Amino acid sequence: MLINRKVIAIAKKEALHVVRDIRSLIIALILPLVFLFIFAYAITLDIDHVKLAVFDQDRTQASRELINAMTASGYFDLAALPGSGKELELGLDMGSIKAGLIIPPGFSRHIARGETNSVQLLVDGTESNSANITLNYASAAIASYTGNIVIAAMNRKGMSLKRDIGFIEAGQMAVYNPSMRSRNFIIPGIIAVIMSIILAILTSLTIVKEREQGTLEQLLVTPATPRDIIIGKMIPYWVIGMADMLMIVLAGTLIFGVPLKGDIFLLFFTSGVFAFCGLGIGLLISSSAANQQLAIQLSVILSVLPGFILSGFLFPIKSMPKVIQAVALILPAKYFLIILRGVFLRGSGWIALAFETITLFGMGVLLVVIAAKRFKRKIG
Amino acid sequence: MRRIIELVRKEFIQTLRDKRMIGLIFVAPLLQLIMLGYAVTTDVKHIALCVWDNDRSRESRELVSKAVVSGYFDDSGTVGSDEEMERAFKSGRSDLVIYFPPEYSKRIKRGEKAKVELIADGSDSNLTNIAFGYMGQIINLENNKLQIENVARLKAAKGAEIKVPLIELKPRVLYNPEMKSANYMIPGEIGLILTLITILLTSMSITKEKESGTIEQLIVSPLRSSEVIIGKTIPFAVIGMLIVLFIITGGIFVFNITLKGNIFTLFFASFLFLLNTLGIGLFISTISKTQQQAMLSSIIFILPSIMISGFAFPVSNMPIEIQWLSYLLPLRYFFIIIRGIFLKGAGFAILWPEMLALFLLGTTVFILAALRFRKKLS
Amino acid sequence: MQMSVQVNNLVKTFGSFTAVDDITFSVEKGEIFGFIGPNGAGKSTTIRMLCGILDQTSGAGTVEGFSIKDESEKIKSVIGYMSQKFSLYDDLTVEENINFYGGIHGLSRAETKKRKDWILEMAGLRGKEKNITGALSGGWRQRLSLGCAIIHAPKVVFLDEPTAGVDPISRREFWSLIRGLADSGTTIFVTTHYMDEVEFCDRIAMIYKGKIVAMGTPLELKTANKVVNLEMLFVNLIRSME
Repeated sequence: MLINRKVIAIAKKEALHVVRDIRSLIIALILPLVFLFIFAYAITLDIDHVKLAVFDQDRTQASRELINAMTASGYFDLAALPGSGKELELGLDMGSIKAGLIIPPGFSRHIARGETNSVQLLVDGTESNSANITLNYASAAIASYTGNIVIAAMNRKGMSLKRDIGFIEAGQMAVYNPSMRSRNFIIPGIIAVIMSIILAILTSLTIVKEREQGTLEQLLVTPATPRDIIIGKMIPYWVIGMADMLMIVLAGTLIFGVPLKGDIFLLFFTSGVFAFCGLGIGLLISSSAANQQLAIQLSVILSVLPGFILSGFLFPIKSMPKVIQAVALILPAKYFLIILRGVFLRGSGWIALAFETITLFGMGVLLVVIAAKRFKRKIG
Repeated sequence: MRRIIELVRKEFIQTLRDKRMIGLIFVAPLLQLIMLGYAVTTDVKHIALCVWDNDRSRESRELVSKAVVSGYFDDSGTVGSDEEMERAFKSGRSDLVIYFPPEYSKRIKRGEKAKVELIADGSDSNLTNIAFGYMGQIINLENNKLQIENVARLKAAKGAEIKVPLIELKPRVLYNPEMKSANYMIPGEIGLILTLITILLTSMSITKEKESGTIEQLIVSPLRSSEVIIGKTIPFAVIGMLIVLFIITGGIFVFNITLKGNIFTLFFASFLFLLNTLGIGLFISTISKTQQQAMLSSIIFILPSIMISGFAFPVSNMPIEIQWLSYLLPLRYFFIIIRGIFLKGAGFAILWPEMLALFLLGTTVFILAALRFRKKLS
Repeated sequence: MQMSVQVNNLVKTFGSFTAVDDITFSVEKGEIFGFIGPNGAGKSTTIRMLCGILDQTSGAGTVEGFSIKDESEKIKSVIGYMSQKFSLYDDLTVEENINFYGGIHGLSRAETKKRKDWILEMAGLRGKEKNITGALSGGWRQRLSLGCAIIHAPKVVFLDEPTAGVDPISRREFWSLIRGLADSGTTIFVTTHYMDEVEFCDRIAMIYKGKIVAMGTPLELKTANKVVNLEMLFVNLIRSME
């Protein structure tokens, strides 16, 4: 029998440790809220209001119109009008501006004469994605401005032109998340990250701590089997993990308006299975590590960072090198994240997510079995 | 002074006798750096592009092949209906669908406005944004070409005496011209690992002494409490500096990124930063009874502070209240400094305000923590 | 008479260090058997092998008829063990510790309750059920630890330096508890390095550097070696070995 009297005794005792260390419990329950708050309010992956400085060497109606064309998109904020190229570059160096536009002298004269002008755009490339999107917006703004002056010039020459001269216009639509709120994308993922972090941290110490304090020896002399001990130790932390999940689901949908389109039972079932994966990893670390400090570092390397970095929570897995992608393949968090986004945003069901669900389940069982096997009955 | 030296010597012997500790101090950071360095990339490549072409023209094929040649998009086949598109999104075959309406090429040839639709799987809004951005740039380039062609055609029709103005944009990307996210992320990762290791190490080591009761030995010794604090923190400062040395050289060699600025400026700034993390670690140890508490308290401080200090997301995009809050976090300044030195080659002349902030914040945190620690001792 | 514990040519080595060097002895049912020796003599190692948490290098042994080699799981259901650290959970209350040990020995709720009353009575902890264990003084911790080790009424109890760090009065009380247990038929296997406690044992074995150097009842040993106390005998034996 999986749950027997001994398992219950161990689970009760472990629950008492949790309740006695009230501060750790509070942290375990507050961390998801802190993450929710940060990702809902502080971090947007949407890039706008890029600080732009313009070194305008022309100072005419035409150059002002060009500046307007840049800022009208709402993407650029005019942050400074430096008096020299050096000053502009200093702004970039200090990070007070992210892009700089240099309008050459004689800009309007060239336009009037129908000559080609070059304007230079300096972009801070340190953060490459922002730089890319900045370039896209700037080139679109300049292209549309050029279109206008071409039409104006043509019309002045007596060629009546329709406003649109041969242009490809791209309509954009994002299905499943039409408002393109990064919140909707991030918040479901927080469930996986928080569970990875909390479960690993809480459980990675439980066995090694008993070993340091000598109570493990006492436990080993009782008829409780390794399986009893491992399962008993898992139960209270499993409950905490599920409580964290529930809090994020409730706050995410009710407060932050994240849609939950799919099957809620699928969500609970896979969360429950994922919790066992996290616990299995934590207990595996705890039964292998020689002391608490080592256990903590191992759980940071094996669970906290991978949950955060390799799961696809923030950084796309498909852009990682092949070796790292292979590592991500054996991470339960990767599969759980696919399930979470599928259930929340796409409304995917059991059949669409069958592969991920089965994989996760297999990993959960395997990890718990390995943790129980690895946990030795003997000392020395 | 002698007593402090004795204490420091003892701390070193204790810390370095355990071979596992040496592994923890030197191997763990390098492992973390390698993992982070290879995995954390915000570069998006291989966006799966499906084509829904109701025009089937040379023009539509050309636009698609330009997208594929750019390297950002992978040709992921075609779709022909809404249902098929939905299946492609759900199965993950497609991230982005480009739809060409019938008459797309005809309209272009006639010099009229032609429309394409970009439909993306918005469940990954970050990827979607970037996919729209890349596709937008490709279409912008195409438009520039069309503009020139159209103007030329008009000129030919009306006679060659007309001159039409054009504006060409000459972009120059500074600091990171190949726009590789690794150049941006790796210096940040160095800051991240430094924070993780030094805060955890300091807070847990001191809490461990509390748990095992050896701290009482120090209290009953004739050492003054200020001597205890100095003696306890010097080893961590030295170990911290060793980690700095190790991880910076490791980062440069393993990932082949160029350090444009001065390495001594970097070490100096790292030392100022260590003052902060030691202070924070010391403070956490005064409020923690067990190693688990120390660990959890460190994590709840470190992870959020990394997020709002600009590790992966620019602070300037955050709400103003969060930006104010970030002024209190040493990591914010350290990220600016380390990226400034690595990527921009900045020195004291530019980075002195951040260094000053680190110094002031560090001494304040350290003194507060030391006072609290001292109260606990006596 | 059937032996409760039987050990033949037991050896344990850690690398090149021999902790237990070819020892042979047996313990009768209901006997208090003392294992005497200085720190590092091999006392704890022997106990751990008998409890089934440490594998022996060679030799054989049985506890209540079960082989220590391949029946260690069966042994665990008939023994009680109290390690020298009084392994209690400091953040749990007295009652919670008792309930826990009752539970992992598979006792039913009613059985646990009955044994709990008995333990509280025996250890003099009545009225302290809700106290946090970490705040108890040494003597109480020691008696609670004993109570938890025998909650399932084991046939053999292994006590590893049960009186280390406890005041003399508590020690005396503890030994009278032990005597009571033995009188009711429980076999007691106890290690100590306090020579004055040796007199409380029915039979003793003196162990030094992993070898048994003398064995018998305290009286036998004293008369055979013509000494007035066992401490002298022990010191002499060790001198003769050096």
